Amino acid sequence: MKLDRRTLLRGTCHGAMAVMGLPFLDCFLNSKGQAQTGGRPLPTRFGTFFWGCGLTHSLWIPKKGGTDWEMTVQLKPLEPFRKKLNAFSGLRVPLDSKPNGQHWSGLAAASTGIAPARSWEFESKTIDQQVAEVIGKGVRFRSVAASASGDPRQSYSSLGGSNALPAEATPLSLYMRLFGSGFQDPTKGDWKPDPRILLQKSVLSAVSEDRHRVMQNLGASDRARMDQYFTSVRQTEMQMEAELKRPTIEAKVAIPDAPSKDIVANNAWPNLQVVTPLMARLGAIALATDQTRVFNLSVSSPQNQMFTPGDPLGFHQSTHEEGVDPKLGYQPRVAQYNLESMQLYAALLKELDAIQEGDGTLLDHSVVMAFTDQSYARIHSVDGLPILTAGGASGRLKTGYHMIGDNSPVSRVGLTLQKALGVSVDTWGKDSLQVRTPYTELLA
Amino acid sequence: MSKSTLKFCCIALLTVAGAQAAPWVKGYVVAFYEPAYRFGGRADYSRGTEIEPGVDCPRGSTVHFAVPKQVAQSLSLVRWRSPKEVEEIANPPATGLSRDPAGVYFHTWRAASAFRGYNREIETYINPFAAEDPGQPQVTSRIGEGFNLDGKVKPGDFVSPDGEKGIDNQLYRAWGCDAPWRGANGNGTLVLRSNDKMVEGLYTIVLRISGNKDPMNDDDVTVEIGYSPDQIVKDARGNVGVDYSYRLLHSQQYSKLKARVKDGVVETEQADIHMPQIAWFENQTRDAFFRQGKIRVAPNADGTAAGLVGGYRDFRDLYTQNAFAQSGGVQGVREHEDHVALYYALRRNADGMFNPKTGRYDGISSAYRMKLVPVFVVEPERPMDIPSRVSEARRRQAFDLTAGATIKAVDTLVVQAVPSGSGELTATDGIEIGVGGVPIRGRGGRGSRGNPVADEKAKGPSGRP
Repeated sequence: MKLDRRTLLRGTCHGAMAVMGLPFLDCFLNSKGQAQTGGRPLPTRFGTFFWGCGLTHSLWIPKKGGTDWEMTVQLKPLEPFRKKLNAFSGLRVPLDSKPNGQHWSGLAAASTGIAPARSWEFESKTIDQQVAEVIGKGVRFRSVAASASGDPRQSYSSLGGSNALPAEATPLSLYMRLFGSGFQDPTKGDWKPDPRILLQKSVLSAVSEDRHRVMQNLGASDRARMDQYFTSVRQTEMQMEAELKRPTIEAKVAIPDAPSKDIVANNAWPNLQVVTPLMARLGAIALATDQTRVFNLSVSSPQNQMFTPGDPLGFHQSTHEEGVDPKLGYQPRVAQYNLESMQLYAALLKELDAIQEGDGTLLDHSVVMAFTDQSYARIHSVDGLPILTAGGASGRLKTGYHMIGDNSPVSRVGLTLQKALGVSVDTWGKDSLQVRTPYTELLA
Repeated sequence: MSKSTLKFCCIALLTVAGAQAAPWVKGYVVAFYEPAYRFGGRADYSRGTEIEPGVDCPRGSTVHFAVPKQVAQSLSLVRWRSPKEVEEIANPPATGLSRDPAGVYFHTWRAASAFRGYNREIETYINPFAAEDPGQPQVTSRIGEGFNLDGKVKPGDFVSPDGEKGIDNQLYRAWGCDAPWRGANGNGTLVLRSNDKMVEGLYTIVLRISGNKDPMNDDDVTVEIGYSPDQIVKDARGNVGVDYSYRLLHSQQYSKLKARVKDGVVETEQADIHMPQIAWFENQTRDAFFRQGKIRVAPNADGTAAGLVGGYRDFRDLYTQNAFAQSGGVQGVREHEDHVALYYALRRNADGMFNPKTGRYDGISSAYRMKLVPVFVVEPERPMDIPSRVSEARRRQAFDLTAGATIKAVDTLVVQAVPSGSGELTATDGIEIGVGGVPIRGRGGRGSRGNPVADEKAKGPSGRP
């Protein structure tokens, strides 16, 4: 019985066939536990974690930089991952002549390196999609997005423009996408490529062949639209390529139980505490089994509507309505919501770090960028936007650092991560956000 | 002293005197800009959402729309609402784990606040005169900053911190207790927010002071103030940088005044002043018109300077600028202020720009503080106007339409409809406001524009098995 990375596991779920890939087993690795047999390296994965309304400046930023930074109140939930974490403070979001779209400009700048001219629009692909172009080829899903607060619109993964790639909004829908139908059963003896897929593929190929002829007759804006369209076509083709290869099923194992249909996903803090770890676990399994290499998890909209039962305001309203306690120097209720947001980030990291893979954990072979929309939500400020990353990108990103505020553009983080992930990019961003110099001290 | 030494000294003195008489110029960029309200509370105390009472505001800052009790009080002034209805609006069901994610209180209150006229059809923020005055606590202290604009010392005038009597700053009297503008050391929410946006590039104000004799004492000085198209430059620490160059546009937001310097303090003549007004959204960026205005600039030892600009401002400009940056209800509920109360406070305290047609004052005395950082102020290479942001054109037009209707309403006291294109009743978080102050679920929420796939998914459970 031969096992390889294409091996799929089978099982049943509520009477339906479900299929999932294998995690990276030691037998796929070389003797040093560093690469798949055959010399191919372990894939590096990328993830994003989005939460709205930022953190409290005085409670999250360590005073010391480098690796000797002290743990702060709001980073405390991330203590178990301290050595795998990087914290970036003092980042600027220069807007040039663009307006500050409240709850949007910071988010878009962090994820595209471009200050947007309009709210709710991205001016380029978001970083996860740029990374997915490089690391996400040949897997079932180019990327997967999930929204723990139950709204498919709360996805900050985009191919550009006002469209975001819709998020899976409940644990069940995420589960079904990853482990439910969608594959034809590869375990049957007479397995052959699905004729529907073959038909679709040939249609798409025909479209591809006509592409150049059509493009010649279009204006610039239409060409841009067609480019986006053909990009999605190409992605579909590549996904089909993956589905046309017959996986070898060698083992019969139990697959995770489908989440209950009764789990409510919304902005209530008790619900987020349940849903976020569930979605994080499903995402981690999807990454570990190489169904996707890019997983995006959001826990709120930019105007973070998280609320604790009994609180009439919730997170976002509190940022505007709660007074600053003069003795404390911050908004106490907002600070609690900040802390809870970091607990949700920790929940994601916990799931990634729990999966052993080769010489480390899945988290070690990933980078997860946590980003937000405001540095001081009370006044919609963007300068000083907090960004945290976790995971070492298979050893290509040094971790454990607090990169203390040096007024770098926020895009410098994105450039650094792309370098670590093997994306061939010399500059990233636009206008004052365009950067050429990554954090070289973090690149191994 | 020898003859030669004496001769040298004389030459040296003449040289110094000659240098002092030479033309001189100083430039500044405005690094902080706020209404000259004087906080009278303790800086180290607050009570939750309320800011410390003080000698300025014995009852503390405003708490409009802060708590259900206050909302009930405000809505009880609306004659067409029953007590039961008022109670339900003030205390909407908002507990449990599955409440409307957009926030029940916020949308219920902002919708109800937008319809408080004498009948249920009247939108309140465009027609504030048609609603009952919920009351605005006013500043009661006697110390205030500003200028003696009318040359008189009247009973209601303030005394400056330096002891000058007759200070006219009735805007402080009217709005000095308003929650988002009140706080110690510039810590009011909208003070912080507007300055954050200014430094971030929303607009830039520069001053150029030039004279012909001595920068410390000169009676032939010119002060220019106006808009610069160059965004404020920060230094490595994030502070406003010193000695950068900024262009000064001779635009609508530009003024040139005669002034004199005495012991280093520059003070202009009294004249009309045009300069950028405080803004925190692009649609607010426009001319602040001070009638009979004055500017004072006092140097600090570190090269920076403290500026003060004052004059009579049109109360309608002040009202619309504050009310329609977003919409009256959104800002009111979030910032704990009530624009109806602010409107009546402006009318009560107006003290300038007498309108013979109405027999009322249309202007209110005001003063604004400026922190000034030394820079080089230069002329643009070629004449240019204030640049506009095309992407903000729609919001700017919405602001103009709304402000226009409001000005017509308060001038004629005839109720005006919400103009088509106004942002007053449009959706926030996907929730619009219907006639009578009813929140209505709109078409999609924010961030979903043009995303039919996600919108479709948002309607219900996933279509997947």
